[in-house]
Amino acid sequence: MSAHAPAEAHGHGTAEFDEHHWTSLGLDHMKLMFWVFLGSDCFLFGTLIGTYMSYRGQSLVGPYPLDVFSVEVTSISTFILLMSSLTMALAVLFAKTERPGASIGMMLTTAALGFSFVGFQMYEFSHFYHEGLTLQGNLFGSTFYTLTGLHGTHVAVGVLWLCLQSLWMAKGWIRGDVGTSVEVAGLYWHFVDIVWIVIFTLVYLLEYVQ
Amino acid sequence: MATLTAPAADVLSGQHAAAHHEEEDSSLWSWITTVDHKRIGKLYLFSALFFFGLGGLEALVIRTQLAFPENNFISAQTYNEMFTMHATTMIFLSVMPMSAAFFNYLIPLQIGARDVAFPRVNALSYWVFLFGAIFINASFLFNAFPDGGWFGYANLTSAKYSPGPSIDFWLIGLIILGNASMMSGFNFITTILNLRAPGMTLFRMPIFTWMSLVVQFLVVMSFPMITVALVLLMMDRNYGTNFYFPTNGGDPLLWQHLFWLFGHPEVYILILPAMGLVSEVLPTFARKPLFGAPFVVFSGIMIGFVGFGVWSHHMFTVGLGPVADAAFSTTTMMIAVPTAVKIFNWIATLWGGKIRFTAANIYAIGFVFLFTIGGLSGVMHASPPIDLQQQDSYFIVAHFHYVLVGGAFMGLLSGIYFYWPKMYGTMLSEGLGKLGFWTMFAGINITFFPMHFLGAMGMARRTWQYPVGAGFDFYNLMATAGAYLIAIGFAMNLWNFVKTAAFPASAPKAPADPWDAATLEWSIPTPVPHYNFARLPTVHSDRPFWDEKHEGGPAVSQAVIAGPGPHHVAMPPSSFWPILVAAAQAGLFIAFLAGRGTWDGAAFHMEALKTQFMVQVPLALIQLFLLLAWIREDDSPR
Amino acid sequence: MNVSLPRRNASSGSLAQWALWPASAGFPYTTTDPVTDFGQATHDLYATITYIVLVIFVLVSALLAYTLVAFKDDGKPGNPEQIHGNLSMEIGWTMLPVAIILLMIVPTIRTVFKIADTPPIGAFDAEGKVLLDASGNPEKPTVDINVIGKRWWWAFEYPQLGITTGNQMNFPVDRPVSLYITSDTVIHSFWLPRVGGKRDAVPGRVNRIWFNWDNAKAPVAVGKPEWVRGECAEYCGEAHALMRFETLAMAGADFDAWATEMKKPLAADGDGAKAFAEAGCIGCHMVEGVEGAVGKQGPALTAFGDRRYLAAGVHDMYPGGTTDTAKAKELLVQWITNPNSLKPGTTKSANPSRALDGMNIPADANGNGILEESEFPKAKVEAIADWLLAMKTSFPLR
Repeated sequence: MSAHAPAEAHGHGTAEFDEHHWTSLGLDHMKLMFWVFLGSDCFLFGTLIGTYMSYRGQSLVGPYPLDVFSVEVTSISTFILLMSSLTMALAVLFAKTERPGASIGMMLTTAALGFSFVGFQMYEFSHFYHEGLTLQGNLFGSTFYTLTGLHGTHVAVGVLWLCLQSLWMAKGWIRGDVGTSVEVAGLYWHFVDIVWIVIFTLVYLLEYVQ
Repeated sequence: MATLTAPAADVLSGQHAAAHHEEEDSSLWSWITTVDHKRIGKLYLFSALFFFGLGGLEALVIRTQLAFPENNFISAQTYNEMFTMHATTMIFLSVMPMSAAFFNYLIPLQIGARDVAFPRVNALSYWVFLFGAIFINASFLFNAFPDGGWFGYANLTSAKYSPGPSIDFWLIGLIILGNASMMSGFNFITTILNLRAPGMTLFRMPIFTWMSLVVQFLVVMSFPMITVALVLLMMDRNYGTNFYFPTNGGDPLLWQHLFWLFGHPEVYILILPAMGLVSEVLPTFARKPLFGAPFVVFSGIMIGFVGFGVWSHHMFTVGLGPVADAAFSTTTMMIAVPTAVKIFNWIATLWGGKIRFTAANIYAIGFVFLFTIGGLSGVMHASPPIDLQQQDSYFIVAHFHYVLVGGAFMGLLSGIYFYWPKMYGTMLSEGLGKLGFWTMFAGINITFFPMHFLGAMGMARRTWQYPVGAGFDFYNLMATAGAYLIAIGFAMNLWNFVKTAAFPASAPKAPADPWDAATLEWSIPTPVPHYNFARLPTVHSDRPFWDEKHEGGPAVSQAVIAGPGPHHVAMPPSSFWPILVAAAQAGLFIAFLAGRGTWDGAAFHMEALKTQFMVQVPLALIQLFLLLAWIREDDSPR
Repeated sequence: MNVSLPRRNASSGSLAQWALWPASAGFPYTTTDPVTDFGQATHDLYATITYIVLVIFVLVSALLAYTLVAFKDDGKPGNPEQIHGNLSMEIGWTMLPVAIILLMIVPTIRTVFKIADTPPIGAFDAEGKVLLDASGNPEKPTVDINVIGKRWWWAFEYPQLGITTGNQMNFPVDRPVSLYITSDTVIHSFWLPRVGGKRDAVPGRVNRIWFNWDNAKAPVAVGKPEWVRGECAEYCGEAHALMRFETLAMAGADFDAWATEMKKPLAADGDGAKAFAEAGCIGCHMVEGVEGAVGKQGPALTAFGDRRYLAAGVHDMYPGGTTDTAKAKELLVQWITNPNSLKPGTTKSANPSRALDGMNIPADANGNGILEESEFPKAKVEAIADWLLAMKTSFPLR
């Protein structure tokens, strides 16, 4: 805990000690809180992934995963989402190096990529629905739509967030450190991407093994 | 107007140099818009006491029905509603918020902070909790009091077997309450990790703060699981999925796994705060440090995290197989180890001390004794074969009431008696407190001890009537008498609190440090100023204030480091956004009720879904607007 | 109100009975008076662990009490010695519970696996060898019984014998009994405390328990059966408290004779049988030998005259073991015309939003769940009652 050092060494009343921006870990509150939130969100997804996996292959009637999956289409949307992590990382980098314009550009690119991922998912859902995979029809439908639907909602929230973040930055409404606020949005975005990699592997790719 | 000492003036430079005396604003509006953790703590405290009274009334109705065999005081349906709401109220609306009262009030004071990390989120958590609590009880007005048990086992809670809206009220209420708990979890973890005063390393933190930290981690890890379980239940009931219904390949045991994956950590969420409070009270009144403090902390962490690996001990009777039973039996018994370590450390703390039997202390000692009984009976049904006889019998009822009433609630009462002088600036009546203790102590044992026998005699839980001739008569009547005794004891305490809070002039004024205690919260003036610490102290040990008073250690008390007299410290302004956001958030969830009947078992009714969306979409937009307004609001300290 | 002090059983010997003396033998649902090998295995463990736990409780309480008395504030000035802890003591009281837990976990796991064993195919001798007849088949084959939890009663099916009963389970004491427990409604829990621990009846799953009667503990001889009462232990809705059942432990010869009688038509022809069919009862109730009475919605009523209790172990039809059927008839008529008054939640119309699968009173047009004279004449109801009560084997459960 290096943040202790100046306070311990100099005590109070010195210029180094700023009571209003004191944090014990030296981390921004928002960033720390967000790490905890993401940890908690892991349990949310973990529970749904666990439900999906424990019901995998338990459906009494079709359609079964391989009847509806089109791994090519999902691979493209996965690639798009992974690319958006790259643009998000650039947005954080630009924000940290005080290039807000470039950062906003990258965030909007990320949002656009995220939006097209959501579009792909909506296409996929409607396609599956017409193939006969419904929320009520079998366990695969119930678990699949719930899990990927929750993930899609996370992406959609992320898209909205990035748009608002861009607006706030453009208007100069952000109090505190701009770089940190973009970084927190980035944390969320990368988390959602990582979760998708897990879902893509367990839900889609696993069906093609054997 | 006192002159500031030189270093204090240094710190306060840039503020109003001639600090004005801040009048405490006591208007209703100021309470609604407050973001002050101390006020939010008080709101939690009295909400929790209110709901404890309500849950207690439900318990009395239950006990009155069971006073005699084949009694008809209430109908079977009402009885089922009563035990469902008694448990739901006591767990989610009473013990958890009462713990939250202490998290709110104490954590910033104990770690030397001026507020929590996110004061507005803190207010939001309270209002969401309150709206959820009101909502779940409002079901009564719609003749839909939940009747599925607090555990809500699938598939009894399915649309087929519980067609009315009662289960929807219950599950939506729990989702709302879970949201409130998770938000305060994020907030307090950040607060504890990030807002400790200079020098307060993790192992200089008071034990209550430590236990709170463990509890918050349990909350943010376990509540997502119950939220998922509840959402799946809602989808089963209203949108035609089959997660818990065997007709389509689903498994009702999935609910039990998800519920107890949450439910067992929840047990520790209920008990660890009380353990933390007792760990503050016992050392103070023994005038000794807590014996083996790091071990008490580690055992708390162990209890918390091993608690995630024992859930299936609630399911020994469902037939998981001998391997699973043996494994979960072992992990469950292992929890007895850290629990025993705690009890031994508490006794060792008292050992060699100078024990003062104040009201706070006798509640704490009562906790240790009663919790030991509950813990030991818990070890018994950690053994699956024994559990096959005890599960769902009154033995279990005896066990967890010893843990939750004798344990959690006694510990929390100890905390109230201990911290009241700091919270309200007045002393509670010690005599009334002790009388209340002995009444409750007798009541608890008279009520819950015979339940061990009833369980061993084969009386099943959640039964509206028991037959004549089964031999259950005497102990049930005894338990009923004891329940009224507990009620009388609680009423004494409640009268003590309400009287002292409502008529502070009638009670003696409390000094800043009435118990000669050891930690930072006692080093600040009483009544506690809005900003808690005019100057943040630098901490050099785990008992900074004791060391200053008794060991010649460096000063931490405000009287020394900040000097007397009024100060102005910049604090976040009050805000009315939290209550509005909370209302919109609760409304968004409650609107799921409009989607009832979307699925009738064969076909999807779009009208019901449309109604739901017609309510939810505007609410979501309002919620978004409110959140944007929230973000735009300047909450920087002023 | 009838409040009776529990009787203490002077003959109880085991430690658990000593510790939980008020729960000792003499009570119909007691867990401390096992009558099977399954129950005894559990009970031995129960006794051991109860004893250990009681010793710990006494020691810890004594330590706490001594501490409170010895270190009471004496009012003298000065602080006590400020001891922060002691590592070896911490290690000691960490290891001590670990040792005690090992003491408990070893017999626990042994018992867990013991009671989870697969049942033998038939009665066995002292060495555990199954007794075989000349053709190599088990001499006394294990009796399988399917237990099905309903709302709110129990169905018992004997697949080997082709018998179905409701709320009454007869079994022989001279061979193993194996129960396959499931549910086709919600989750219930099958609990026969004196036989042994409970097992949940979960829809979509089958749980098994098996046991041998302990004739030394509870002697059963030909013509001298022993009855054991059971109950549902898992909350299953409105009438959960009123979902009990009876079991009858019979000598092997008695059981075989009973099983044979159950296969024969026991029901007489006449007004009662006619009214039973006319009212539509046959749609839900199976009665052996009655044409069309094959329904499984309600309890099988074959040999209804054998049963002592009505409405799943709730109402005693023969108080004090009387043979007079007057009370039985009165209850039965009330049960048929107004079941909800004897057991809440039973009729569909009683609480339409909550009980979906209750008794559907035939031709009930008034919607209040009461069968009135205008809907079905009382005389015919009485005929049904007489007919049911007269239908019995040689082994009435009294």
